[in-house]
Amino acid sequence: MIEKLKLRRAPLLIAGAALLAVSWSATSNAALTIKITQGIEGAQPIAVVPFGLQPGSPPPQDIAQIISNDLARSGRFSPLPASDLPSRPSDASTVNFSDFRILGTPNLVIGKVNRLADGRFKVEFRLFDVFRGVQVTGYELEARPDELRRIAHQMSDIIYEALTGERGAFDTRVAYVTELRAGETSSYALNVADSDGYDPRVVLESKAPIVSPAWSPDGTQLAYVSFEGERPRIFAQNLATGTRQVIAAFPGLNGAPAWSPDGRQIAMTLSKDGNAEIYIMDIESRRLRRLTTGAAIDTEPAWAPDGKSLVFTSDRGGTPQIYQISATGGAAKRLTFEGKYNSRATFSPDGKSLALVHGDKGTFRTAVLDLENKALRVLTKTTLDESPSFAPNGSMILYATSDAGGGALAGVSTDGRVRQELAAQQGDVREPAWSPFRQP
Amino acid sequence: MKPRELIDRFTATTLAIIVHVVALGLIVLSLDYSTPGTPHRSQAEPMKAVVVDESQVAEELEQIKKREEKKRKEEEKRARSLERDADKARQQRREEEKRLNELQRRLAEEKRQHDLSARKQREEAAKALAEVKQQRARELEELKKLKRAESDMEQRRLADEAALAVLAAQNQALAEEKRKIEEARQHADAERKRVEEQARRATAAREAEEKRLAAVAAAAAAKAAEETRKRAEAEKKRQAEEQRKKAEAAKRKVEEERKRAEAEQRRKQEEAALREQLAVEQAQLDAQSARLRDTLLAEYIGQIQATVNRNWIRPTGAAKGLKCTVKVTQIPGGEVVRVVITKGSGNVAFDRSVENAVLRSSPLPQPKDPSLFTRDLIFEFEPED
Repeated sequence: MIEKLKLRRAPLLIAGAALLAVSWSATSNAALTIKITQGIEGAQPIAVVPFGLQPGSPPPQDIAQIISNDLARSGRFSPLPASDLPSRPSDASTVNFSDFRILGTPNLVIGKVNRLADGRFKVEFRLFDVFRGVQVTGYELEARPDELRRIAHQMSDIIYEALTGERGAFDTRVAYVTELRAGETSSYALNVADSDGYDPRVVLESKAPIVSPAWSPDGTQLAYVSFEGERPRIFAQNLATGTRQVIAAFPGLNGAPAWSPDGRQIAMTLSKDGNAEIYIMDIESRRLRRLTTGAAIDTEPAWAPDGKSLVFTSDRGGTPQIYQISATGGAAKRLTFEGKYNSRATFSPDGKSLALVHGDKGTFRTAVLDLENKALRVLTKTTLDESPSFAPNGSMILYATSDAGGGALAGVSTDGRVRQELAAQQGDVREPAWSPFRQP
Repeated sequence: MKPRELIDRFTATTLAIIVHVVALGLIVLSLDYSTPGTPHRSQAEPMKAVVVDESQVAEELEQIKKREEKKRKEEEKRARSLERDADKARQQRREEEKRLNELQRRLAEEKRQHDLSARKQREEAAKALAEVKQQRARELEELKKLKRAESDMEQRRLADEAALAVLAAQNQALAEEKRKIEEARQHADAERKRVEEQARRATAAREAEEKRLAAVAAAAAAKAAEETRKRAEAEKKRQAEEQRKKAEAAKRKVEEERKRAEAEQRRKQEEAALREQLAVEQAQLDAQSARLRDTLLAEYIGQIQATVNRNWIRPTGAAKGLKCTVKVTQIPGGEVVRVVITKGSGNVAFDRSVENAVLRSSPLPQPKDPSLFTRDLIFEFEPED
């Protein structure tokens, strides 16, 4: 649907290349070795110049601004404020690198947007290495006006990957539940928005509460718990078609669905046998396998990326803590020991850490547990965080937190350096879940 | 022996007489003893004769006879006793004699023993004497040895002295040489004096001659003589002058030679000292220059480090332990014309931050000493934490 055309590198730096070739052959005295051990840890400076526009037909979105926000939100980049830009080139031929070198900005993004005859837009962007004076990458994309935000996120992903070597996760989505109160009654909605919180679309509306949305690994379905009919049931809904099916409707509690990485199973919490326990259901056969036993409450299962184990919350030790258990069952191993409350754990994409809610003296904050050294690091300063989930590239954690207007979406970089609320939503936002990468 | 017998007999006789007298006296006194005790009246009363009973007298006579008998017996007994005593004395005398004989025998024995021990002593003394003599001989031998050693030492001492003498002689020869030089100098002086004296004497003689000639010869002769004299004088003067000049020339030559040698020696020494001084100064200069160079190089590296550190923005959230090595080429002026990652960290963001840090630092600081400029630099980026 979006055409992507890779732009060829401009030949403007032949002179520079020639100079390099000359220095290559030049003989020199013995090299001096210099150790550099300090530096300053920080976001990499980048200049994102507002895209050039055709007069008379402005696009509905500020592409450069979306890219700039995406990069900033990641915590890895520090975009130059537009007011500090020394010049605003939109064509490669008009770039004066020395302007940006003076600012010490190593990366430069320029672009332009042209309206096509059929109403679509052609968006072109280039990423330059300012110091070398060379183009790092560049693309031309065509899209409908309503696709422009997504185009911008895709560009952010390209830039992010070119500069960090890691896949970008800007062109992904988040699911979350909103509660709208009108007098005595509340209405609930399950929404899916862009990763920056923009472009929310409702996928389900209900008078009954909706909780625990969970993405299928291919990003095509959402499982969730709905209290329609006065009792909780687990549904799986196809996002493209809107059709849904009941997954679990056992007596008692049906909750906390979690898709296995291969998408064939769903782990869930059921109390059909009297007590809240973890079960694994084979989706195709609907066969259930009980994973945990005992008098304690076991809930909130989450799969390890390799699908071989799960973590869950249990109060078997007296307080809610995180335990790990093999997907084939057996003994559970306690993972959290710090504090009297740890819950809602999810694995990072690399499986090396967990995001969880850490309770301490009445506050509930988003924290990361390093599974290797067992260090727990609290990332936020808010007081009522819930439902943390990793971006599919592991660079950020999405969570819901309570602000003055109720629950809101917020994101924090995994190193805790950058925290910000996402685009304001209507109503009280809860239970966010970050989608997987889009399938190609 | 006889006198002893005589004395013995006399003693026996005397004793017998004394015994008889005593017996008589006792008879007389026995009358008074037999009368009963009556009070004595005064002496004026006449003595009255008392009649005595006849039986009493006979009894008394018997008593006396008995006493006489007893006395005689006692006398005999005493004589026998005396005889026994005499026997005893004789016996004693014999024993005495025997004792004397024994004594004499013992004395002889003692004398013999004494003689024996005396001989022994004499022999021992002789032996000791012999030993002493031997000892003495040994000591004499020892003494001889000592004397020989002494003589050796003496010889050595003499040799030493001889060596010393040789040294002294050498010294003396040196002194002699010195003295000779001095003498030569003195001799030259003396010669000069002698020549002068000769000249003086010649002059005196000439004057005398002149006077004599003046007195004797005519004025013409005087003139001729004067001429002759003048010639002789001139000749003498010339000769003297020549000799003096020769001596002086020789002296001057020696002096000059000495001075020249001294000057040469001095010059050489000064030259060597100068060369040494120059070498020392050069070494100091080299060391100073090397130190300066080191300091400047450290300063240069420090400036580059400071600049690059300031320009290095390490990516956030990067793993620990990353290291990236780049080869940097700069041109005079410090402009970085090339940055090549020679050993990357494997982390794109980290490696880019490294490249950017170097490029951001262009132009790199310049060394104070342009010779320190190095075209190629290797940077090792490795955060300390």
